[in-house]
Parts: sequence; structure tokens; C-alpha cells
Amino acid sequence: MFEQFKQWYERRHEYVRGWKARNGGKVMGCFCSYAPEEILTAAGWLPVRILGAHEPQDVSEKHIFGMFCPFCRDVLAQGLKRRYDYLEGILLTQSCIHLRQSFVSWKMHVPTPFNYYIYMPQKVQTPHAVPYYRSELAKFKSALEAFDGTRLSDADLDRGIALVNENRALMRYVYEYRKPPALNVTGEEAMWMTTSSMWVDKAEHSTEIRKVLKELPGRRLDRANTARLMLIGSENDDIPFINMVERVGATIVVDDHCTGTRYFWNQCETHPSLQSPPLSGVEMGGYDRLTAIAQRYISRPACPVKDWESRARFEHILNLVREFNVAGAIIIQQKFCDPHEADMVPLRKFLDEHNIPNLMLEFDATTPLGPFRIRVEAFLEMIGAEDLF
Amino acid sequence: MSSGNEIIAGVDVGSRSTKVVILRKMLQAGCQSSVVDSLQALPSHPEYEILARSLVPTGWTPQTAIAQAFQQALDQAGLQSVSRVIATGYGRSLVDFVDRRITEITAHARGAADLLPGMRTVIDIGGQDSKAIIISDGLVEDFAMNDRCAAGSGKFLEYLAMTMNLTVEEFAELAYRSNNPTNISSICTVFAESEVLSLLAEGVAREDVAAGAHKAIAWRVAQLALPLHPQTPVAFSGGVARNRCLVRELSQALKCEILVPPYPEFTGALGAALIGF
Repeated sequence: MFEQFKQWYERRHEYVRGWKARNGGKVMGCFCSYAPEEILTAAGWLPVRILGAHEPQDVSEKHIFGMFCPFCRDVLAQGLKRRYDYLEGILLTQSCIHLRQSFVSWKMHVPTPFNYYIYMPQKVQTPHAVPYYRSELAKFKSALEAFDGTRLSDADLDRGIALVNENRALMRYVYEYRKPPALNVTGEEAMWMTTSSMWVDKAEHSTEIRKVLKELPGRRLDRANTARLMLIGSENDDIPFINMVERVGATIVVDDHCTGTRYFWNQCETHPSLQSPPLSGVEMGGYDRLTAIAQRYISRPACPVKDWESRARFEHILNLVREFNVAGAIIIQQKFCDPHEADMVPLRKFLDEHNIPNLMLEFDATTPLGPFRIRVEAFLEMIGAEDLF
Repeated sequence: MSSGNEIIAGVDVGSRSTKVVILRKMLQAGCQSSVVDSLQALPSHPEYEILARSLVPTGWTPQTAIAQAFQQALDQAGLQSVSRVIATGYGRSLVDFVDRRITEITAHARGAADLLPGMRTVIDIGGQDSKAIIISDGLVEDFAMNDRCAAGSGKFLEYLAMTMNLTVEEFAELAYRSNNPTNISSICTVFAESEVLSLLAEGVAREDVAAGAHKAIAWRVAQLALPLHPQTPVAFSGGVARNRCLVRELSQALKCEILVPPYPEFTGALGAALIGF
């Protein structure tokens, strides 16, 4: 049922090259999930999230200090190995300095016709964040228009917003099937879906989700007796790890990842005339598309790099734990990821205070499945300990 | 889990050694084990008697070690077979005659809780990893393991003993004689070897260097345990617990008394067998 997403996940470069051949469009390599996909989609570009390959590599050491996170080094390695040689542009929306280093190095050593660095505010809680980000998005839109030699109309932006919103909403519908005790979706399948949505054409991806949604109600996976776990962390597309976890007696039912819920959980407000059903009597003059897009990214479940000092993400995690009836959480800590490390002590304290068992595992570009399996199995035994003593 | 006069084996396949314990579940309280008493007395237990224990180096062919250890235990107990087998340890998946597999975290917690009732914290230092386990109301409440690094494991001691051309036992006894352990600051095992060699070249007493290595591993294990807010009493299980210098240094690092169960190397195998009850 999720085979198409798996294929898109495993053969991402082949898909994108095929998309270009079919559509003749341009492709933007995005270094972070904060990239304003509505604008890119409106302009006819395909936003493609750049992820690592989870394999040992020896090409990034010259460019990035070894104690920067393995993800940013793996990302740069993909550029240096010319795996994304189809890109017309690269885009960084300010997140952490590690990823910025990857972007800067990529720009220098793997030049693309277009590159842009959006100065997204770090402190999203301030009331100045939305107008500031709106002004940055306006500059980005102008730069893109200048590069393309076109102008984006309101209708273009409405179309971009609608396509991205639709895809987000459909993924949330699929997540609804992860809530009941009779689980219809595995964590691995959900990961194929969410990560592939970061490079597959939104309309095409949404069409595939609609097919899945038609079949899901009749599906039975026989996983009702597995432990319901949540994954928490930064970027994570480590399929072998999630596969291992789901083979030893657990099912991942929800996540807080920038390749998961943080990427698609909230919507961009649409123009009142496009809302369904149309809102009669609503003042339309106050709606500003770029403000709506800025608002969406400023108010989405935050990456820890943008969540200080309020740490609003913790309450969001707690809500997910309750909504999805989570029995325990595995915290996936990318080695040397400073923003997430800064959250680690208060996050675990928060989870402990709410009686949510949690296990922290430190990840590298490649995963030591054997040692991790012992920890995960011990964690599952701990959660279900009543029959052991 | 089971009833009647069952005989249960716990098989702990560690990276260094494979241990087997065979238990008979007691029908009546107060029975004594004739077999184990003739070997070396474990406290008699009202719920089970220990019929046999065996230990075989795991080596490079774990399946052979498993077969040998299991057969030795059967011979010792005068048995042809057992009712149930529970496997634990890093090589538990290699035991193919098993009824259930559990992790060494749960096995050590169960074993230590049985041998030393009331334990709140269990430290186990194995050949390739170390663990801190918090027990509350008879359940594993939390745990931590060292992460992809030999520092804080038995391998660290083996490596440094080899550097000083000693067996692990000689290394431990040499260290125990020291009243002035030196500081070894390198967390990395390989770098620690360089540091040991430098200290010896500077003329630092061998026993102080050896004790410094023990202090370093105890500190490392304490760093593993302290975030879990360990409660006393604290038990030290696993074969490394026979190292009295490490017990002393661990006691200082955790600032509390460290209790070592009898036959500490069999704690995991015993715990596995008890889970088969």
C-alpha cells in the first residue's frame, strides 16, 4: 500500500530527474524544513529537501569540522559527490550554524545557478517575527522572480499555498489511522510517506495519499499488542533503525521530527474566498499572502534552534503523546547537534514529570543497530515489566 | 509463568564469557540444594535451589561456547534436559534451544534483586559495555548503558592490564595496594594507554597507575549512573565485581557502599532463569 512512497524514498534522484524531464521545471535543493515551499511551488520550482545517505564518507572533512553534526556533514557529502547534480538552486532558511556551514561550503564547491539564504528569525516567539519574516520572504520572492524573469501573481501564490496545504492535510489524515489501538500504519511506512513528500511533486504525492486513504480503513496489521512509541528528535530518516524497532515488539505511532510532524503539522491560512466553504462577509482586504506564509512557518511546531526560551515544543509533544496514546518515547539525538542537546536535560525532565518513559540514543550517520537493539529491547521490557518480576 | 517441579536454565551469553545457571523451582519452602552446597554455598532460597553453574569463555565461536557451557551445567546437575531455557546477554539470539530471550538489563536487575533484596541500583560492568539500572518497586525504572566506546567497560581494564604486561587479576591486585591513585584524564581507551605509558615513564609507581586506571573506569561508570539519580543500596554485578579495587573506587565515585552479590558473574544468568519461573 505504501510501496510507491518507499520507491520514491529509495530512488529519490531518479524521481526528480524524471520530474524534470516530464515538466521541464527547475529544482531547488532545500537545506531545512523551514523552506517556504508555497513560494517555490507557486513559481513552478520543485522543492527538494537535501538529506544524507547514511553511509561512511570521506569528502566533507576538509570543509566541516568533525565535531559538527553528522547530518550536516552527510548533506554536504551528497553535494560534493554530485548526487544532486540536477539542482538549479539551493536554499537555506536560517536554522543552525552546522547546516549553514554545509550550505556555504556547497555554494562554494558545488555552485548552482541560483542560491539564496533567507534570514529567518531565530526567536519565533517575538511579535516582530512575522513582519520580519514576511519582509525576508518578499525579498526572496523578488530574487526568484528576477532569476526566472517572471512575476508571481496572487493566483500563483494561492495555487502554491493550496497544493502544499493539501499535502499537509492529507498526511495528517493518514496519521489519524495511527491513533486507534488497531494500528493501520507502521512507523516505517509513515516515514516513507513524510520524507518522500519533501521532494515529490505535491500534487503527485497527494494523489498517492488519496489512494492510500481509500484502502486504509479495510487494512489490518495485527500490531495491536505492540508497544506504542513516539520518536523525538531532529532530522530522522533512518529506515533501518525504525525497521529494527518495529521488529522487536514496538510500533512507532507518532513523531516530533523535522522530517515528520514538524514539517507538515500546521497549515498556511488561505485567502478567505478560497476557503471551503467560502466564508461570507469576511473582510478580504486584510489578507496578505506572504504574511500568511510567514505566519505558518513562525507558528509551526518549532525546531529547538528556534524554540528558546519558551520551549513551546514540549507542550506540543505532550499533546501528541496523549492524542496517540504513546507508551514511551525514543529520543533520537544526532551526535553534536547543539540545539537538540541544549533541550535534552529539560526535555527528559519534562517527560519524566509527565510519566512518559523515555530512552535517549545518540545517532551518527550510520546506525549501530546491534547496541541500539539491546537498548530498545530493554526499554520495551522496562515499559512492560509487570510480567518479568 | 510456570508451575510444578520445573527445572529452568538461564543462559547469559556475554562478550567475554558464557554463563549457565540451572534452577529447580521448589515445591516446599526451606529445601536445601545438595549440589550447590557441595560447591560453594549461595544462600539457600525458599523458592528455588541452584543445581548447577557453568562458565565458558565465549571466544570467537559463541555457539560452541553456548553448547559447552550448557552441557557442563547439565552434567553438573545430573540432568539430560531442562523444562525451560531463558537466554540473555549480547549473544542471546544465538541460543537456538530457547523459550524466551530477555536483555541483560532486565536479567541483571532480576538477579541482583533476588540475591540482594531491596537493591535500588545495580551496576554491571561487562566485557564490552557497562550498565546502570535503577530498580523501583521491583521493576526496572530506568537504565543507562555506555555508548559505543570501551571506556567504562571491562575491556578498558583488560587493555590497560595488557599495557602493563599483567593479567587482569594481577592488575586488580596491584591497584588495590595503592593508597594514592593517579589521575588518568583520557576517557578514550587508546589514549589512556598512551597516558599510562607516559606516567610510567615519569616514574609514577606502578600500583598508583593501575589504581588510576580503576579510578578512571569507576568515574566513567558513575557519570553513567548519576543522571539516573541512583538510590542506595547499590549492587555491583557481573564478573568485574570480583575486582576489589574497582569496588573501592566505585564506592568512592558514587559516595556510597557497594554491595557485591555472591558469584557476581552469574547474576545475569540467574536473573534470566528466574524470569522463567
